[in-house]
Amino acid sequence: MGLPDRQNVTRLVEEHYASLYRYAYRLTGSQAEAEDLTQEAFCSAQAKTEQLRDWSRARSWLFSILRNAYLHKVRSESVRPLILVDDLSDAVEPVPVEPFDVEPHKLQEALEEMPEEFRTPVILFYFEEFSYRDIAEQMEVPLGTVMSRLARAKAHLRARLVPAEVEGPSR
Amino acid sequence: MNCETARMLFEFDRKAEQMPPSEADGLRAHCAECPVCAAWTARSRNVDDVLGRAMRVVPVPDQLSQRILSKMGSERRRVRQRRWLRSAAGLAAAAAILLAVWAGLDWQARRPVRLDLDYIGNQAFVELANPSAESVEGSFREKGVELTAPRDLNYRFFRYHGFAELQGKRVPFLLFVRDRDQARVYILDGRQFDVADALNHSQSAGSGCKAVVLREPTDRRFAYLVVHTGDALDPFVFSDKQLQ
Repeated sequence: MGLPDRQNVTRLVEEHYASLYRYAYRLTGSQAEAEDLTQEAFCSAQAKTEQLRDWSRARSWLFSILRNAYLHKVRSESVRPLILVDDLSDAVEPVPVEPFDVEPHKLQEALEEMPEEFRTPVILFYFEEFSYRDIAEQMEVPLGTVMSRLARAKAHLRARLVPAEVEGPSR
Repeated sequence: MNCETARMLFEFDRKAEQMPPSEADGLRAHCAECPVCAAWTARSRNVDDVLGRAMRVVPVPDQLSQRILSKMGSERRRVRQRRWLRSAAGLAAAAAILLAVWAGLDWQARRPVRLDLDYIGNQAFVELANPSAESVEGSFREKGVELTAPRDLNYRFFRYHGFAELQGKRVPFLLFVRDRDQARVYILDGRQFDVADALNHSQSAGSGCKAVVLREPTDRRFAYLVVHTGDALDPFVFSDKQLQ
């Protein structure tokens, strides 16, 4: 289904702008950049409406457009993460026994420490609507690669954010 | 089901994966029997819930959707304007090319033509050597003009043929000369002149010349305006012919 008129375009924005913005914020860590990226994604989508044949895939399609816009921006600015890929390990995960909370700014810091190829799958995983297959399609990588990167990214977040009462059993 | 399989299945025990009910039942059954996996899955689910909630808690700026729609509207206008400018540029380029071609043709037309005296001399010889209505018609045809030359005039007295301007129109004409008298024959095309009306005004006189309009008997499209000196046109006409 294409988007032949302004009414459909408005509907697309109203239904998805909030989740797209949240994704953009988690990718960039900046409100201003997230808003720019979100606007850019919708403008780009407006020019490519013939690509959207199934309305139920609109969110995934928009997230893909936004991610591509983000990558284009990052490559042109040569931004480097603080942690190298090889340092992300999924060997041991501290697992708490007591309830705990995560401070939002610490979450963002932990996300920004990771390279984008690990940050994206974990953000999409926790946004809940995306299956591993959806994530693999958006990132254009095999399913196994998504699972592997996700495991390492989750382990990093847990190591940084989850207080450990005990060292839990290894997997 | 063993613990390794259970923990692998646990990764797919989420809404987005739509795990088959049989596998979900198998996982639950294993956790019911294995306290280690039960504790592990409970803690992992707790961590995922907390991280997921934190991940999704992002305040969305006020009026963001309006700003997005406004930006999209501006972008649509910009794209339309760019398309229009591209069309205009294309038209301007086409116009510039046409102008250049026209200027080139105009320059060609205005450029002084080199006189080809041999050609001119040969043409004159051909015209005067054996003139006839047919040869005159052939000569005009080469110039892109189809006409019927008068048959009743004596081409022994024919001297020249070409084009003249007659009341703003370019008209084929023939020149006959006999002794001191001349007859200029303007070949009138019914598409240029009201020939029928001209026939009604034959034999006007003035300035020492006489003008007579004759009809071409074989081709009603044409008439001949003959402006001649002398008292009559007879000297220029074949003796066995009569003026029409």
